[in-house]
Amino acid sequence: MVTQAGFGNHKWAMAVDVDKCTGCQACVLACQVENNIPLNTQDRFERNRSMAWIRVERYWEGEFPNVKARFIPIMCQHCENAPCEPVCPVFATYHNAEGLNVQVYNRCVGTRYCANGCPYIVRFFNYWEPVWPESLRNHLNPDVTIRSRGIMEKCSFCVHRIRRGVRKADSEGRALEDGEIRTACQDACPTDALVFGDLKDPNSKVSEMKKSDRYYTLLPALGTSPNVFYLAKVDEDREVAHAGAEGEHDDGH
Amino acid sequence: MKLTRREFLALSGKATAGAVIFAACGIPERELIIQSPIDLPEDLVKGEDAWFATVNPDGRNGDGLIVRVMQGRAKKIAGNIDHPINIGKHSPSDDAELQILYHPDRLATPHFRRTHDGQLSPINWAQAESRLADVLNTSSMTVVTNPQRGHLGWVARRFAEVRGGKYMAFDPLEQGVLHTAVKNVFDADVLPDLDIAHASTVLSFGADWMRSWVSPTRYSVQYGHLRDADHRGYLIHGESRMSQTAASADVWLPTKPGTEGDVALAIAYVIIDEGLASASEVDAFTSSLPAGILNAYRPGDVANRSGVPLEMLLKAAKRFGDSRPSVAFGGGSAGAHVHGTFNLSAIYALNTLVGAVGSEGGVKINPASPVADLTGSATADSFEAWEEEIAHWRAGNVETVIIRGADLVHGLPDSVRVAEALRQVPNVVVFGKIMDDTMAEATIALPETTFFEEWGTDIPEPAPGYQTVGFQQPVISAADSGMAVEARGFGDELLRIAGGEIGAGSMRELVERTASDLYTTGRGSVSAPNATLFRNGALQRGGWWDTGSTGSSQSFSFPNFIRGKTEAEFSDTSGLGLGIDLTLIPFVSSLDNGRLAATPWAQQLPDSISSATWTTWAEINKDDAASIEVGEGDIIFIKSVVGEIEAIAYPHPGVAPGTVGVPIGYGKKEGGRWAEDRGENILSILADHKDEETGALAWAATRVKIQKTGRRMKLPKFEGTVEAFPIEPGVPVLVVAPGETAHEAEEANHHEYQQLFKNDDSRAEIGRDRFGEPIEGSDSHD
Amino acid sequence: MASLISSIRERNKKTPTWLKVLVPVLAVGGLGVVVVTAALVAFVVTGWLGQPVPVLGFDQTFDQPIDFPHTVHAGTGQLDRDPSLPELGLDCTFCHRTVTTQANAGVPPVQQCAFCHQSIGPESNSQLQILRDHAGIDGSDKEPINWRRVHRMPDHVRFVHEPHIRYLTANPSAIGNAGSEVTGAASVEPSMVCSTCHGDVAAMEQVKQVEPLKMGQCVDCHRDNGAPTDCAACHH
Repeated sequence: MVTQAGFGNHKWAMAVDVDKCTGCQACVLACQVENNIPLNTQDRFERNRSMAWIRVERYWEGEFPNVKARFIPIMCQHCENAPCEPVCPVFATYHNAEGLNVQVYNRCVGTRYCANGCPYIVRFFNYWEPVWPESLRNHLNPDVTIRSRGIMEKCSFCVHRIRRGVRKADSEGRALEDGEIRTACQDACPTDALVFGDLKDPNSKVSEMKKSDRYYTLLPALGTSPNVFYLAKVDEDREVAHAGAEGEHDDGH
Repeated sequence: MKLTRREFLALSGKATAGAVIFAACGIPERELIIQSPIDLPEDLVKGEDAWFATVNPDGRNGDGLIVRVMQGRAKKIAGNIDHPINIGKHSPSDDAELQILYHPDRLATPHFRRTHDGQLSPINWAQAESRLADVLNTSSMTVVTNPQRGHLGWVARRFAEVRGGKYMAFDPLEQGVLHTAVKNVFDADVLPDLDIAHASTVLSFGADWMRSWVSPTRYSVQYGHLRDADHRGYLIHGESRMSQTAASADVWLPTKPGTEGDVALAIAYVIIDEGLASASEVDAFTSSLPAGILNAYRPGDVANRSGVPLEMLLKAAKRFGDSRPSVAFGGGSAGAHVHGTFNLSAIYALNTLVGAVGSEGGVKINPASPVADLTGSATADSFEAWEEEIAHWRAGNVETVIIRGADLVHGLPDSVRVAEALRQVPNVVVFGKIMDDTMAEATIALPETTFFEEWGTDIPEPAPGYQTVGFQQPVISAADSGMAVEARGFGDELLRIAGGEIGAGSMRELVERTASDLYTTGRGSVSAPNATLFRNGALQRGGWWDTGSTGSSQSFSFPNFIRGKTEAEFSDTSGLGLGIDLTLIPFVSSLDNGRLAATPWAQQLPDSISSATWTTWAEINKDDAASIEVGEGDIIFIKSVVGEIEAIAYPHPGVAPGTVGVPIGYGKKEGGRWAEDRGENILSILADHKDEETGALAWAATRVKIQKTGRRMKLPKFEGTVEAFPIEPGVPVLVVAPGETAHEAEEANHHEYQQLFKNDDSRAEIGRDRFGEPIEGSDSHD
Repeated sequence: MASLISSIRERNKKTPTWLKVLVPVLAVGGLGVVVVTAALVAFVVTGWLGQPVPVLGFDQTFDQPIDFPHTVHAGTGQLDRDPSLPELGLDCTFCHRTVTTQANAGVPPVQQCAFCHQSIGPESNSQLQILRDHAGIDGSDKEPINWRRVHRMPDHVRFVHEPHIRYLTANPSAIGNAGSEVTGAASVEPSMVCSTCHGDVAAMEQVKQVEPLKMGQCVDCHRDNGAPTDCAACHH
């Protein structure tokens, strides 16, 4: 890939610490506000056609009273080897030099092949023209294109914030700092479960988190090599299957 | 001609339609117009991306906010990174405020009707002013707001005082019991801060403190630190409902409603019994209790009473006593019982047993407010006081009521018949942004500005352990907000009417006065050579705080709280017909207490546990539901002694048997296009049980009958919108034991999974899918 | 109908009736096909391929609410109405203040126009009178001016002025529509680079779009100057 004006010097990634997620949905709404995602009306929920670029899934484990709810935020995984990309007949989705899986709205013709190809089910299709009553249009974010009917959309890693951050650093003639570019979901996340950053910067927080023992990715067997990775939930009550060897239960303190 | 590629393709598909195509390619007139504003707003000159700091006095505990403003329009709210309460974070309810500002159904002009039977019809502000002058010229007046800690509350209170009237605060889920318990145990007038971040064991009861309660953003931030990998703490949460907090806890103690205090004392019993506390700590704890009283709280007995398995109870107690620093706190449904004060006092008293008061990772006593006018604490008047007041209204003893920020008609149970009482008050003046159930009873309805357009102050409660004052400033101009709304601020309007009687001319003046008072203290986060620069500095940062001004952790001895009622009492369900008896637990979901019901963003935000949206649902135990043949989507009656509502059943495995959880905030009759007649109001059917000591509404003490209506409706929820991932252990949520690596856990899970396949029948035991249904049958594994 | 068929049958009895009906039908049909095809071709040409073709009413310039002459304000020649006076020669950034820092160049607020025009300019000038009405100088209600946008990017393009101005001021050789005294300099003032996309606005009585500003032009320039050609650089 040709590096142009510093483009391609970064590899954007997000770390999700599942142990910190409380399922509060702050990221979901912050994303919706930031990215001009249409209002999810009751009708859309009833037809299973509501949209959320980032969602918090909740899984039950165990039986009452030992029941546990597990939360996990899931957004576009920005796969290095993305199943959605080769199936697009018009090259509306592709992988760019900075590790982003880009959706180009003006190329998209709405075949929905990509959504069928995505194992993480993070792509959403605009079945209707998005509608905001006139006065609500005041709060639309001018940095993000409003997608019309018939277009596929998904998490963009807040690419407009990336562009703005890069531009700002350029105009001030300095290098980007770690943590300078923050996605909307990360901004909102009260527990800092979501961390966005540059994997090409070895000292960045994401690079550090990637080295954690708890590092895992979703559906690794599919070989998608996502740029979103997770840190496993810690549960002191989990019985370690092969406990014999280390046999040591760390109680934390 | 500006055709998008998409439109072009769509049109060429219709090309057989011939010449009409060209008629469809007009230029959208509006998009080609750029308005050049009249004045030179600061943000236009400085650039498009101006962020202004402010606070929302109606929001969550005075969280510091910054608002992105572009060309005079508010675009986005985020947390103020400098503000010590929320440290750069914000909650979903803050986001939704934008849609109150730009709501298409904002009340545009004042409205008036001569009698309660007439129609509200628009008048202009000049007419409204003269009407107000008439009706406020009386001493038989009550001023009502939501609990306000800042100058807005001060103005309302002072206005009532100088006119000889009465001031009252209203909150459907009041914190009066909490304040009383804190006073009992810590002898503190303001709520203490909880150092969850540095604790090793956190024991909480009743309060869904990550979602609602007193300071959800702050405590969620702290929870994040509790989970820091290098010193991961342990969270034990006792609550009758599987709430967001319960779901995030390491151990959930599913207490039967009203037994939280018992469980707390049983934990104390175990700690003393096992010698996990030092002699001085034990002394401090037991000195003010009747001797031997703890014998009534032996873990075995309490386990039976509370439904918490004994083993779980012992484990929690040992962990809490042993792995310090520990902190205990409670609120919410634990205090919403007839013996709520006992419950909460017992819980907070545990802190003395583990030496948590005033220490790191424990309870930090907060200092008094640094502002002379303000106490820094606000709590709603008790339900008992409200019953009394409303009786006065009904009797016609009150001439004028002024209401702001409190939807009494929606928030009070039907038993007090508040709408009827309001009709006996000749003048009902209601300030509001969007029509609500209370404003629908107004004789004078006045459009109010939003917090984006106002001056004010707010003192967070709990403060972060030191003195903190948040400053509110207008971030957009009310005149040029893009809304055709002639709104005025509540505080400014009262000050205008009082004409100097209160001792201030405007909210802005109060802010400036507060700033200059703080300047003269010569300490805190802002240092400046003169008062004006100090004020600017404080406004830019969104507030003032002094990390050195901590509260004193004085030695104290709490009074014996084991007096009066110590046992729960519930409303009666006999005579309510067939069905099963359950204890009703109302809870706060996306709409807060109903304040955000008008905004589509809050309405469509999935609930953390059920992911339900837009309407009222009822969380009910699977077995309870099965006993009356109810499944998800069945509409059920929820009947109490006061009345009945309908809700869509949502059974899930996390609901404790014998309880039903229903979100509050739904069921407004008025409230704009997105709130009107949406869902049903659970608050309306609460029985009038009260906490014995404070008179607060015991909102978790209502027992209800659940019956099937026979009708069904799809529950609008996010769950199921996308297919579940293939479920095998560890996908997608991988769980590791402490010290175990993700890789080891994956290997172990995979091994377990393969073992299960050896015996095909056992596959049903693997787990549950996102619907809470066990995975079974349809073996699509390849 | 029957009489029509019988009259056709009457006229040229040797030609079979079916042929007499078919020929005019084919003729009309053929004409229709030509019309529809022509319409489609025109549609494709105007809507898709190039700069909108004015024949169909798509213009590159509009009448504005006020006939604002860029010549008088930004030009450096002599005034038309009084050749003894010079044009003002204001710098572009005097009014378009945010062009060097922000996405939008910024249209000045009415107040800024009124700084000068509450005293400058004769009362007889009807265009200035419109401005004064909007600015509330004569005591009328203040009101924004609804200018009509001439240079408009499609909705799916996020164009930001700031980096473009920054690059071109440092690399004048890339400036278009400018003389060698500009392109040959080592670095230039921000107002010297605008012509690349907007042409010589100072010489326009009424502003009109001179460059196509289509994606091809953007990409060519980006490629020539080593700027990113990644889709997400502009489309997001």
